[in-house]
Amino acid sequence: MGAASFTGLLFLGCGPLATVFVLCLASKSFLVLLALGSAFYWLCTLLLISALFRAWAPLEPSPGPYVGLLLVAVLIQELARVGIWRFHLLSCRVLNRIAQEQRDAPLSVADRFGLALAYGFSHGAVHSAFFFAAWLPLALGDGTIYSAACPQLSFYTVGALSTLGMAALLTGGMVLWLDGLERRDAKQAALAPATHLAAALLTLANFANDGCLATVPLLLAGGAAVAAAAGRRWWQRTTTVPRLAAGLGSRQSQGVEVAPSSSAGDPDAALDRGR
Amino acid sequence: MRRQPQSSRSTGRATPVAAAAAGATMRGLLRRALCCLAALAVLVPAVQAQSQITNVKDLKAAVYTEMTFTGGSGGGDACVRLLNASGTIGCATPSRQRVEGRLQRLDTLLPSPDDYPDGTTFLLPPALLAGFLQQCAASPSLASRVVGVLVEPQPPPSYSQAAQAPLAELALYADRSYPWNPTGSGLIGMALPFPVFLLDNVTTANAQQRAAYNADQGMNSDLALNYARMTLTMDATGNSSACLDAQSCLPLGGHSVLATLPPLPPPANSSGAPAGAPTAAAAADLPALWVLAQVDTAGLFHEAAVGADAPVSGLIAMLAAAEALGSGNASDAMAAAGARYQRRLVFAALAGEPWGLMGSKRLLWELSTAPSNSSLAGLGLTNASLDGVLEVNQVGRARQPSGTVQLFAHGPAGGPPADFLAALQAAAANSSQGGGPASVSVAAASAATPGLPPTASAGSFLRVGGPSVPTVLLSGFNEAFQGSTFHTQYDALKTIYADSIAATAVVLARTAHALALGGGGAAAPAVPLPIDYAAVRVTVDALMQCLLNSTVGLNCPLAKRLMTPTAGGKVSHYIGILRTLTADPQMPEGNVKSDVERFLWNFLAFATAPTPANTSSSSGSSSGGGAAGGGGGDAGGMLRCQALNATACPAGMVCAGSRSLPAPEGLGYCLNASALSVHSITLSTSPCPFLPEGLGYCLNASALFVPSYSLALRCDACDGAKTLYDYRWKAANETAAWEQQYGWPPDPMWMESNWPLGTPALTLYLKEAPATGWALLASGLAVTAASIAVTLGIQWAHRRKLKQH
Repeated sequence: MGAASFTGLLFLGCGPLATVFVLCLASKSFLVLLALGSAFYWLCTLLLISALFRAWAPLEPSPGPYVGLLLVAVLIQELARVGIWRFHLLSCRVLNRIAQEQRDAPLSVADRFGLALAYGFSHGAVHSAFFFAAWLPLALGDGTIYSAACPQLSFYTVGALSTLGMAALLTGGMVLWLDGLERRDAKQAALAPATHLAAALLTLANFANDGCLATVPLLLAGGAAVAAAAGRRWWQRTTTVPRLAAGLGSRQSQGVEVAPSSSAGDPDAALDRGR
Repeated sequence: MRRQPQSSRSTGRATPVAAAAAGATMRGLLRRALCCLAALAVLVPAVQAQSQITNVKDLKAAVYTEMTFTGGSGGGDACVRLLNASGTIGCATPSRQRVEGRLQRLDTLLPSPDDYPDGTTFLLPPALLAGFLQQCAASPSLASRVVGVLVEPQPPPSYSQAAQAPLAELALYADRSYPWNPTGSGLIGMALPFPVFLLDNVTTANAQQRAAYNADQGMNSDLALNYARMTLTMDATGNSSACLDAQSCLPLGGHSVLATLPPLPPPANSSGAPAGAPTAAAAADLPALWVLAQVDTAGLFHEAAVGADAPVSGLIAMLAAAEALGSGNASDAMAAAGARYQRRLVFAALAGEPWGLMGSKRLLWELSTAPSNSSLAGLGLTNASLDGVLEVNQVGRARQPSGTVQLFAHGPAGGPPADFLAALQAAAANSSQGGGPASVSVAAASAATPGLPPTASAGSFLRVGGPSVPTVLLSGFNEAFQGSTFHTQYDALKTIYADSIAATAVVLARTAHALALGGGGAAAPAVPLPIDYAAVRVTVDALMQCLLNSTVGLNCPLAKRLMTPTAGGKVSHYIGILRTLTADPQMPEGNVKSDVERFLWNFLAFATAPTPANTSSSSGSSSGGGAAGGGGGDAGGMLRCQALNATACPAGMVCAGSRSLPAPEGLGYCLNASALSVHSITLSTSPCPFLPEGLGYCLNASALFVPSYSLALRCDACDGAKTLYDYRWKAANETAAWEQQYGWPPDPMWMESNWPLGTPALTLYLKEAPATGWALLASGLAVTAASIAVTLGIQWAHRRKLKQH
């Protein structure tokens, strides 16, 4: 493989995620801190799952045991996502209280999307670190490996592309999840766990000969679709209402982007209900 | 010298990356979980691996197959560079860089050297190795184009790796080309400018799969292909003199082990001799009958060569014979008849003989020099007392399909001495006594043979002692070596027979007994040697397990009772390098004397020490030599001792059986006044009456270490003043006159090259075509650039939309 392959795989698997961080989160210190804290939370969650399945590792290499593994793993992550929702409510309430004390405007819809993006980014990043970055240094060496079931794509390539799809799916899914819950849109909120579970179960197709030729494109398509849906929701929610310019300077001083808010769906009411 | 890679893996059926782990502590949990990427198996694909992959280390092992260099039977090994006075032999990479080549299996040799592709590592069955290397030797252009050679371990080929006339320069007859080893290919003597590795079984299966994959790809360099990456850097170049000057090599060497029966008297000026011990005057004038066996073997792959038949079968036969001769039964019979040996039996396990008869040559030089300069100083052995030589070698396959054990007596040109031959035949005729095999036969070697094989150590004694010294090599071959395993890794335990060795041991013991009593010829000895064949067989089985079973090695029960191995019990019959000598040659330091040497020394000490019960009646010229004197001991009043304490025992005694670790429970010595022999150790299964705390016993035995290394070398300041790793070898010429006197050919001065850490190493892996890496880089950059462009575009559109609002 070598340096060229390593760099290529790194950009392939983590480039878009890094783009999101640099262009959407890095300029706002609060979001960076939130992403770091959230990443620690997701790291603990994945460690918990690892510890749980340590007792059974390695599993019999057949789809049966892996279905159970995937179901439990996704379930635990989705339960952790509920924790994210609770923390999101708490953080929004605290931020609104601070804004009120400082005679600032409350969190805008764009602010809330920024928070959701930070949560989603951290989930995707930790997932990538766990399943991709952990072994990526091996790609610096000369060797590669192909599965007998997937002679068309190397393990490294499949890993990078799958990570790309899953990172997009998890990041976008979190945005949809939090926005759906805020607006009490169960269908939208359910998209996140549903697509997560579907993507996880989809990887079972890797057991089949040439299965990777289906799973990799489908994961990429799924990730792109979920990310596009999240982006579309963000666009709709932030551009279909008059812009609120008040408090721009003070909000920037807190490191939280000031962007148009929406009266539709009344997120403050949702926050209250969430208490 | 040998460095071992950490793991060996192979690929096999497709399995998924599996679930992972967590440690007991948070730190361990984090590390494991980060490494155990497969915890969830959410996105990872199936990979090819024999065992499931649970962490990054497993994944790395699946990507890179690294061979472990264990040596021994069935283990992987590398051909390494040796140097002698005229040049180099063995293998090395052409430069200090590691090399890699596409893996291609050869099913047959190609007719022309030009037909072989460039940049290739060839995977060969053993049958093709000799032919391929001979093609390389004949075509320097081919040799320069070959990246490396990997040799499969099986099936055994029909050739030997030694020359057809090995050590011909040492032959004592005119026709030096006589093919004692008719299947010899001479591979051992080749100098190869590329690495040659012997694969282990696991790596072989892996390499064959990888080579088959390459063949399926048509060896197309535009596709991913399997490569072999090899590290075999050798520091030494030129010849042994050059590398000695550059300090880039170390001499081949070790220690021969001697033991005498009866024991030698203590030096005349010593004090504290044990009660009943003979005086020098009483015993020093006994002529010596030497019973020889060789310890080491050779091969293209040094550590893989076991030498079961040549020479270890002979070594085991000699050890078992020594035990039978030194047993309590034998000494009791001697004492009852009032008989005494007229010749002193000297058992010699000679080290380094495949390398120019290094061990026997050095021993004879030591015997020939003034006692004050010799490792045998003050011990009364001189070559003036040389009164006969009985060597035993290659007797593991003497059993014929009919069940007869057929042995042959080789002697100097003209045949073996008549009295020795007659004594051997008489001993063979009595083989059934004591429960021995019904049919053992000893015949003179064919008249077609020109004389003693030049590989025989007895030839060194004949050269120095002159034709008047009766000399016999007892072996299982007649006109030529049996089979094609001489000096190969295929001369293994499963190719020899224990009953063949045991029968030889009995014949050897009876013959030595008869000759030592002063008889000889076909006449029965005055005191028949009582032999329990079953006990001999038990000893032979135990020795085969210790010296030839690579799985057990010196972790065998017998060795654990005698000493503590320092190399994990691993047995090597390659002499290896000699870093230094001890100031006192008899000090059994584990970092100077090998485990095998210390095992042989302890075995022979116990085998030849008289039992305490016979002490009072023994004399210097009888079979017993006196027991441990002094009080404060146990087990029949024997003194306990620490082997590394030079003054642990009274003069004339040795400290044997000392261990740095206590023996396992139930494996300690069961010494008492009536049982002190290797036999009692071998058979002991009952709990011992006292704790085996690791101390040795002072035995009235004469067991000696004699250094074995080139006579052209001198160890400077080998007095313990320098550390073990200081270089202290210099060229020497003190022996030139002596060598010239006896017509020795120029000393080969065998040395082994140094090599850096991480050598040797062999890694098999699948390598992408170069275009793939660039394609991946382009794809990654494109995806990242696209994501940047899309994000910036959306942000720009978003801001514009907001402005519109």
